[in-house]
Amino acid sequence: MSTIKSFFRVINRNKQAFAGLIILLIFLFMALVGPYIIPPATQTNYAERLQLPSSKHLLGTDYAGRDTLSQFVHGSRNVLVVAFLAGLFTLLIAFVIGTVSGVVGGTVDAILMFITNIILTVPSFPIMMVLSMVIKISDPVTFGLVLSIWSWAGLARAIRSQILSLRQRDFIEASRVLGLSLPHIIFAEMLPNITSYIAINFIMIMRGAITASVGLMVLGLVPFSSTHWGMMLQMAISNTGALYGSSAIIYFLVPVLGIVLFQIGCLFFANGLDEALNPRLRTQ
Amino acid sequence: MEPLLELENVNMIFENRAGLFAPKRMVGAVVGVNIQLNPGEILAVVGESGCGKTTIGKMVTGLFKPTSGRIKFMGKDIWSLKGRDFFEYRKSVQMVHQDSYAALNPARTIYQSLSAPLFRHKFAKDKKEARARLEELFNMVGLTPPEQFLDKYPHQLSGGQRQRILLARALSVQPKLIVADEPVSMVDVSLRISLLDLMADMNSKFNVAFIYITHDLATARYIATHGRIAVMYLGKIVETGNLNKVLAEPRHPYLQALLSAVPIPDPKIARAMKPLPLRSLDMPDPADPPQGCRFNPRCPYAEAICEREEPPLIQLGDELVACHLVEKIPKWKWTEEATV
Amino acid sequence: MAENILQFKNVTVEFKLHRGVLRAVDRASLDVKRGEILGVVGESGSGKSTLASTVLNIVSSPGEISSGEILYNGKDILKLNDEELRRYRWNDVAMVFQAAQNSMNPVIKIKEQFLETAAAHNIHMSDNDVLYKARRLLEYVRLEADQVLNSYPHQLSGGMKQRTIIAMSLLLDPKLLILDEPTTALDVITQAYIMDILKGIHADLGITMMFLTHDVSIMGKIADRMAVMYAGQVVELGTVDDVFYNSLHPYTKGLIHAAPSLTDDVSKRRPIPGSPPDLINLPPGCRFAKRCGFYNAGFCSGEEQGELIEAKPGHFTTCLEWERMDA
Repeated sequence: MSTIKSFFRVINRNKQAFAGLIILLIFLFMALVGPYIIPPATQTNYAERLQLPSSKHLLGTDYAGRDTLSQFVHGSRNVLVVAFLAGLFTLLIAFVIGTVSGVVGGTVDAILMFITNIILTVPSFPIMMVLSMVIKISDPVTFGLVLSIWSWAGLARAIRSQILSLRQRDFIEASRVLGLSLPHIIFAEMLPNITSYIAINFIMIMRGAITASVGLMVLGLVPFSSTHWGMMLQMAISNTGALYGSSAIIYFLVPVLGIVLFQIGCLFFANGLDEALNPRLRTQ
Repeated sequence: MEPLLELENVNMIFENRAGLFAPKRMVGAVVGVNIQLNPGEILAVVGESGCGKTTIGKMVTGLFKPTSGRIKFMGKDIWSLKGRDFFEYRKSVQMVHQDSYAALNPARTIYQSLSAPLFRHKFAKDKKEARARLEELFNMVGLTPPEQFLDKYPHQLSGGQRQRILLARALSVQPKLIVADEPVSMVDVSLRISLLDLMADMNSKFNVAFIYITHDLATARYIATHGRIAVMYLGKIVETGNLNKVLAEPRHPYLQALLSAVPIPDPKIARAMKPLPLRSLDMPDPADPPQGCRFNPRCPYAEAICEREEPPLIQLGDELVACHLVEKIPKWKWTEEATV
Repeated sequence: MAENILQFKNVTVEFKLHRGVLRAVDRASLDVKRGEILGVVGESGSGKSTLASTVLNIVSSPGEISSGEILYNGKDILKLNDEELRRYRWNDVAMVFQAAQNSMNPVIKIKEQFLETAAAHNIHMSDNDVLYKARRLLEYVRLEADQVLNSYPHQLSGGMKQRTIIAMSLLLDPKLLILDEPTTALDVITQAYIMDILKGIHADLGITMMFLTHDVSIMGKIADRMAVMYAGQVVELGTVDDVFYNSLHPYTKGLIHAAPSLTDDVSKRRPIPGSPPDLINLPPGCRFAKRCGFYNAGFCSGEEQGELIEAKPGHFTTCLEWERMDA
């Protein structure tokens, strides 16, 4: 309990991290609770299309007269779920590969790093584009997998180097002399020392996943769900010519700003995470 | 009585490359070392950095495998042990590191770090038992009140406290042998003696053998008063025997030089001591040791034979000394130096 | 010329941390006599390294010299402007830092380090002059000048690097040399050798030296006078013989008897019980009281005493009960 308390104390001290946390919490709240508060905007009403913000429609309406705010809120759940899953899968793959490479070493390490290097050199977005054309993406899990399959390489290398340097440390040597088992050494001794690293990377991966997912949807490659922000953007561009001016600009800007804000939240929060997760800085 | 630990003609040769295209160099960190340790005995392994003493510590704890020779624990070669036997060996030989901060996991509390081996070796079944055992241990090593230390992180404790925790951790699995590599060199001078006394106490109470590795001869006296000493130079043992006798009457010129150089906390004696005139100050490169006796380029008494042949360890009373001219070298005494 | 080349007058250094204010050095007063070798002994938390860093006004942040004066030849160096400070550093006072072996730039050769040092502090010497002097100084510390000058730091052993740093500190003929733990991390034989070299430098060049160490055993060999620091304060000051054989502060006596020795009877050594106080939450009164035999036996009230009293001519102490210690 005291660790959680001191964790938040450090976050509070760092104004930037605190702001980031607030932003992320707002999004979380919006994703979890929002859809229950704001009714889904399914009723089309072409008479009210592309209206500017008013008291009835706080963020205006889309090309079919549906409330933008409602779409945004309902869409956030999908966005965050996909981003979270992408982050999770990427992390798991990177952790397994990085740890096996670092702990086993030798030929296994050489082979894994060879594969990793190839993945690193080939740009991920085109691969994701191809994959989304080939695989039918109809649920968040598949989407998350597609987003993660080419994104784990950098993190795997980083985890591997952390493991390699931890292996040399005296306390790991002591664990070996004490006869502690290998799974214990990896999960109970090494892992706590790289949690801050992993947590920060997780946030950043989520950030990247959102961008990638939105990008795929804007290109129309993932006819996923109508309420996803990416879909909103796609509709905005294709159906209303939003990029060419007109009052549809609000409809266009809403998801864009949503993405930007979320990324800012991630960045700011990640900044403070390192300090908060480091026991040395925490207990000062 | 069967010896607890035996090192038979142990060699540890490291391969080293100066650069990508440079030829491979062989560094003989430990060369032809023979050691025997009985249960409950204390052996001080003394030498300067690069002499191989740390490597011996790592070989005894099974972290390094010797390139040749055998290390036998309770009669069995440790590298031939499998499964249950190896696990038993692991429990019986423990280590206390020099840097107490580096030897403790900075991301875990003391309780978390120290309870793990207890559970692993079945010394405790649950949290309550583990805590009780640790509190008992902490009381023994002078960390009172013990509850105060269990839930702290390593960085919240002082160096002396952490060192005691390292000792408690080593003792927690009831080992037969503890290898302590420079355990007090990073601790304040005023606290060193209490740590050394503690280790000597643990040795007599639980009959745990100690191998005490250090470059500080003065501290060796405190822990190995009734024990033996092995002096190392460039990977070889040059003198060994009962500690008090060897320090009172050093026969090997290297040991004599070491004793002249150790600082004495007594100004009158300190001012009167003159260092033994060594012909060269710097240690030779361990990858390229001198021909013949490894000490000959620096030895003030060296003769032709010293440059040709490596001296074997000759029995001299109860001691073993590796020097061709041991009979001819003048005896080294404190007062004699003072009158020069 | 004045008798004291350097004077610390009531110097206090504070570090403002989240938890509170840490007084690393508390009202320290100390005189360094011209031409002497002064040793300052202090264990971890004593403040000796912080005190050393004040001489060149390089206390690492967030530390600040919150009060006091440091007089070099009568002039307060804390009031010097940047230009004067640059001339003062290395020209008048040079410092060899702790683990100096690691303070050399690993990617440039030794001879360039000498040239850089000279350039940073003194523009009146030509490159050739600097190297000529460097060569002489390296030979003086018994190193092969040409070999060392053309090497990179990693090609030299610990002892060689330390001697090189000492030679570099003498480059601009400083009048005062401060050495912080000059021999830690070095082997015993190298240690003795370096102390010998320092003694030689002192005898030949007449440089005043102040060296700081945690190891009281090395004082006896070369120091003329010594000061003992504990928990940020200077608790005893006097000639080496006086302080060793007739200690007037219980900490000093405890420290000397706790240092492992090769010559003494093993059973005569005694550790000092307890541990140093937390410098942020200092206990009121005398900082050593909790560990002091006199206080625990009821002989002393444990009052705060930060001032050095001249108990005997030239022998100072902060202990109020010093008369009890006077054998």
